[in-house]
Parts: sequence; structure tokens; C-alpha cells
Amino acid sequence: MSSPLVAGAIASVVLLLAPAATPSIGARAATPAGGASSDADEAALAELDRAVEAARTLRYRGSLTVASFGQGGPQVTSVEVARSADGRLRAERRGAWELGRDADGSYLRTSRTGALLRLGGVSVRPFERDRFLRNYRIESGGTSQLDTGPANVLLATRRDGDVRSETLHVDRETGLIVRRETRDVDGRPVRVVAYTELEVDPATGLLTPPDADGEVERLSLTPVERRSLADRGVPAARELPGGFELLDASEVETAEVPTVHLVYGDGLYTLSLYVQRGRLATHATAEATRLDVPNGGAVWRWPGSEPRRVVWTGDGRTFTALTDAPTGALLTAVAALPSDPAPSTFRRLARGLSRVGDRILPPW
Amino acid sequence: MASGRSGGHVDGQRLSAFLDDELPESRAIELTRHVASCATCRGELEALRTTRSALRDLSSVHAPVLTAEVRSLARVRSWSRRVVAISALGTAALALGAAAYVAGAEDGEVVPPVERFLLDHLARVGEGPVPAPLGGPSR
Repeated sequence: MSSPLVAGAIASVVLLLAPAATPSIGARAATPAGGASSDADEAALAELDRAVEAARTLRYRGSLTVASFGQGGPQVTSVEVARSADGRLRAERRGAWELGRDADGSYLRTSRTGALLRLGGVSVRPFERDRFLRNYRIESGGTSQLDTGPANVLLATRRDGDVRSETLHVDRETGLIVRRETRDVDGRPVRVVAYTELEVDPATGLLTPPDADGEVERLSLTPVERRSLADRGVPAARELPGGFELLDASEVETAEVPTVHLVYGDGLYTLSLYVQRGRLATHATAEATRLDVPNGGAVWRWPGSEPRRVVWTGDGRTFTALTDAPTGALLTAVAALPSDPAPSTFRRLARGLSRVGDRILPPW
Repeated sequence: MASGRSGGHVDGQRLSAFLDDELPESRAIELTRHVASCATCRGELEALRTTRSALRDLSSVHAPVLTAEVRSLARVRSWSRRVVAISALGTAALALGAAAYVAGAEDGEVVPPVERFLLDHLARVGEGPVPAPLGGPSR
């Protein structure tokens, strides 16, 4: 890693983290919004709708920086993003690096992240406004002055708590969200995503803007489909804690072991759950970090920061969860699923001795 | 001297008993007179004394060292047998433990292909930390 790159990384982290650590998320100055909360909510909703429409219709190009905060220190990625006339969002990664105590071993985990590299040409689920508003309260948070110009701040807070999950900065001129700050349920920063440069030509709309109504996919399973999954032993809960609703289920045909892919969403975050028959191999978690979940079980956090990824075993099945939700929200959601305690070496030896004894000593 | 003589000389057994001071006093005086006048018996007696002296020197110098070495060798052999036995038991225990660990694996263990799931997840859901997460479908 060259010294200019290190300097750039430090500068980016300081630039991104400093606003995230303050209550009013303005990068340079934030003005608290006044007025009654109901009026503020209406104004925030209107601004949110404007941001959705701008993201759906505008063409833009810019430089995007992502700072993700994990166990090994902040991981910073720089990407060139372009929204083309056909509506595709293309991203080209310029560089990625990590800071913190695990910085020396960062390259493997950085390459594993790869999320932004997969954005080009990938379809994005439509914004589900009703589901979002069922789980989150949106309100105005004043204004901020960013590198891309003045922005209106929107604060998204979970309805089942007082912790602010997201702070969105909406570019005042174009309506695009130019900065997004995510916090975990304990208030710790999860990631900051921000444009450092942005070019928008409002006069040039998309040539074929997608029809929001016509593009909406089927977003729930029928009772028959859920029953079919249950008959096969797949715990397809209709809802998971935290407002995650079951949106879709499908088979993963390329997997060696039969695998069912369940998709949950709460209107803001998406959670993929892969369910396989069989228990998680002990040696598979050599590089993972054990986390305890509220139901007494154990899950394993896989290396890599974005998206969050955990694996665990429960009721003879192996689960893999991938999500852009903060780790705390992820653990709350998976606590409703079966999970076994961490495997015991003593129990394994005892089981093995019993089996060896059965082989050596024939039954009387 | 009627007994113990052959050809007028004292035999070796009587000379040996004389050297060991085992003859009665009268016989010992009689043998002393004879040896003083008989050069053959005197030479036989001197030879016997010299031989005995040499044998005493041999036993007094070498026998104790030989005994210590033999005892040391015996101790080493005993320890070797113990070490071999302990090593064999340890190896057997390790082999049994390894076999038990391998045999104790859960039936149907799987290693989830997390990287493949990651690509599948991103391709299907299109999720990523984008600053416009609320955008409409971009197809």
C-alpha cells in the first residue's frame, strides 16, 4: 500500500466518520428543522418521495466513497458510479483499503467484499414505501452542506425503538440521496456512503424510465407455498423480528447441497436466508467469529463487511444469512430461527468413542 | 609326615591348608620343618602363595567396578522398558482420540458456500451500500 493511498484512506475515514458521529448529520453545518412533528413528517415524506423519483428517473455520474465499520477497523472503498440511459447502475471500483488493527491482512477480506463490483447491471428491488413506513418513522433533520452542495436531511428511526437507523442527505437541487449514514441498534456507526463528486443533468431524463407499478415483483408467498416449504423442513417464517417479512423463496440450483433461498425485507434492508440440510461442519468456522444470539444459540460471523454475513446450525440445518442491515438488527432477526449452542469438542469425542466402541466390540 | 605326601613331598592340598592356617599345630610344625629342608616343597609353597596373592589383588580391584556397571545397565534397561511402554500407551491413546474425533463428526456436515451465496444474493436482490437505496427498479 503506497503512502498516498494510506493518506487518502485516513482522510476519507475522517471525512466520513466525523459527520456520522454528530447528532445533526450535516457535514459542515446542519440547521435543525422547526415546526410541529406532523408537519415535519409530511415534509419528510414529500422529500422522500422526491428522492425515490429522482433515483428512478435521473441520469448521473459521480465518485462514491463507502466506509464500512467492522471488527477489523474501517474499510473504505472508492467507486465510480454511472446511471446510464437504459436505467442500469454501473459501478467500477477504484480502490479499497482497510485501516485498524487488522490492516495488514486486509486484502483477502477486501476482495471478498465485492458488493460494489456487483452493482453494475444488477436489478434493484423497487422501494416498498408502505413496508418501509410500517417499520420506520421518517422526519426532517434540517439541512447540511456537503461536497455536492446543500442537502436536506431525513432521519429514519425504527418504530419499535428510539435508535435512529439511517440519516439520508437529499441533494436539494436534484433530489438524489447523496449521503447515507447507517447506525446499529446500539447507536454505533455501521457505514457511511457518500458522493464526493456528482454530475447530474436534470434536463436529460432516462430514455425509458421504468414503470414503478409495472415493475413491482410478487412480494409475498401464498399459504400453499409456505406450507410446501414447511413440509420439506424449511422454517419459512412469515415474519422475523424487526419487521422483516418474507418476500420470496426459491431453490438455488447450482448448490451441491439442496438449498432454499428465502428473501426477507423490512422496507429498508433486505435479508437473504439460505437453508441447507445438514449441520455446519466444525472446521468451516475456523476464520469466523462466534456471536451469541438472544435465544441462547450461537452464530458465526463470516469474514467480510458488506453485506453482513453469518452462518449457524439449528435443528439439523445450516443457515446462511446475508444482509445490508446492521449486525444488531441481523442478530435480532435470526434469533427467531432455530440455532444450536456452539459445538462441544468433548461431546464430539464422546460420540466418536461410542461409535468406535460399537465397531470394535460387537453387540452381545 | 605320613599323610599328604607324594614321593616324599607335601601335596598341594596340605600346602593350601597350611597357607590358610587350617592345619593342627603339630602338623603345621612338622610341615614347616619339612619345607625348610625340602627345596621342592618350599618352591611349591612359594608358588601357591604368589598365586593366591595375585588372585586377591584381582578380586579387590576389579569386582566392585564391574558390579556398578552391571547395576547401571540393569537400571537403564528397566527405564527403557517403562519409556517404551508409556510411549506405546500414549500413542495408542492419541490414535484412539483422533479416531474418536473423526468418527464423532455429525452426520451430513456441510460447508456453506458463502461466497457463492454472496454472488447469488447480490444478483437476485441487487443489494449494496448505495446512496440511493430507495430508487426504483433499474433494469
